[in-house]
Amino acid sequence: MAMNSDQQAIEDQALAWVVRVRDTDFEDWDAFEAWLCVNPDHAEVYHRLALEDRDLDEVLPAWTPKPVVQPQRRAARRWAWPVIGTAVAALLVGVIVVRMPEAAPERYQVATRAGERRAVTLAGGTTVLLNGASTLVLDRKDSRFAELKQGEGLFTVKHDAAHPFALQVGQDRLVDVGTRFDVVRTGSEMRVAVAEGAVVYNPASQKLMLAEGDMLRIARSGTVAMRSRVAPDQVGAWREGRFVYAGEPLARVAEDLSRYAGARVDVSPDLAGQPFRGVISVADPSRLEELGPLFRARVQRRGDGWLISRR
Amino acid sequence: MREGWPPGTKPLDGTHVTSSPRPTVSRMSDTGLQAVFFANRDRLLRFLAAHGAGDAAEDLLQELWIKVSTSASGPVAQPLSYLYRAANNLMLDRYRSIRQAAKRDADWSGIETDGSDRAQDPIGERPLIAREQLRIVQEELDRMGDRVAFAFRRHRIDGVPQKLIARELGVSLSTVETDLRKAYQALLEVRRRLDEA
Repeated sequence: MAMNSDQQAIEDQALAWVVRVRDTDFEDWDAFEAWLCVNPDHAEVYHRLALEDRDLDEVLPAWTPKPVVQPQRRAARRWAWPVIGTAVAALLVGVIVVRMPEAAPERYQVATRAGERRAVTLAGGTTVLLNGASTLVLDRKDSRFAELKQGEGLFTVKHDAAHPFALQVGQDRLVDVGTRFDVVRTGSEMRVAVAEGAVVYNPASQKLMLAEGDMLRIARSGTVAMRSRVAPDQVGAWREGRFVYAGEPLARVAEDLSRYAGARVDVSPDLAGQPFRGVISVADPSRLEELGPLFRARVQRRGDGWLISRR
Repeated sequence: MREGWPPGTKPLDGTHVTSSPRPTVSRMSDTGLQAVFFANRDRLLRFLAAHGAGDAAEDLLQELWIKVSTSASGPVAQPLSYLYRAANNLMLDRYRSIRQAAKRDADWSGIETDGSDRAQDPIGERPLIAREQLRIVQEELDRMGDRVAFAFRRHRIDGVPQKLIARELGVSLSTVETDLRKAYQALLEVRRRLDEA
């Protein structure tokens, strides 16, 4: 199609509007209307492109993205947090991809530093959003396997009965039944919370079914298991900088904040066990002192990190 | 027990210890939507006109109200945006049916469209060689690069707001918009090529 530069400009603008208007959050209808009014061709081109977009429905559902690891990026200066909005741009820095010499060559690691977030897409329609200070092991040959070595990931798995997705967490195994779930592995425990669908915990032994809204905590020693209920829509809220607690000890809150904010957050021993209920929204990880009143404590900088202590 | 569970799976029947606060959704009754519709009648009419509704604008506004009042079920969080979106979809449907009618007329009068005009037709009117199309589209998506493909997938298949995708990827909203434009450009180009072939 031969097109002069004016036509090309209209096509480009129309496509930009297709993308913007398609967004579920779109609200700027006045600006869109103004653009349509400039020239009758605008509406014509927009209509054509928007319908072509609609027609993509025929082919897209069958699309499964190939495995993806983003190239390594330079870490930004740690405390160069700009205001929120652009702030999160700084979160995606320094992804480390390391080959493990001791393991099978098809295995490789994706790791994030504290304060970083990484999206990993696997074949078969699985996406993993990796929180900070986390390490995920993947298999080039088997896109239905992953191992969470440490940290936290929000897994969205498209179910395939013939090839269930299995996540290894230490000695434990989680197998999906078509689901979105969040897994945390720390030095002392493993936690899994299910947002949608379900997973089976250790199908070979315990065969414990975790459905939507179930949370399971297993101590690293393997001796203590605790189950509870969570609001499914709050699972994985950390990706929006939101943390929901229903009586968890402050030590656990500090651990979550450390992973997310990219700086170590400690609690004084006398407060570590104090239960916390509520929702924390971290808009700006460089201003954690604002959380003090929420904890009924003092949050202050200490070295590179933060300390939560009694007022 | 749901289908698909491995045999011997036990349901987790733990004590329901806690439940975190849920965000509240304001409930918008039909009469509420109606109030918003009539309060913004002129704006919606202007919007339809901007879409090229011409003399039919009043009729289309009527049609919009019938569509909206019969299909809106449950709470509508952003009623005005909801109405604008419905108006937008109405105009797209109208554009398509006008094109199709024009094409039928052309076919009836024995005028065949030649290859150069085909690119102008809304895609989907001709039978598609679905499998082949899928393969080519898939290749194109794989070629787009990881971030673009991820953003496109989250937007177009998972229906995630672009602001959230920006957060997930740690980039700005305008970067996500640019990525999505790139993805669309590549895909639409591929489909046009296939259509001309």
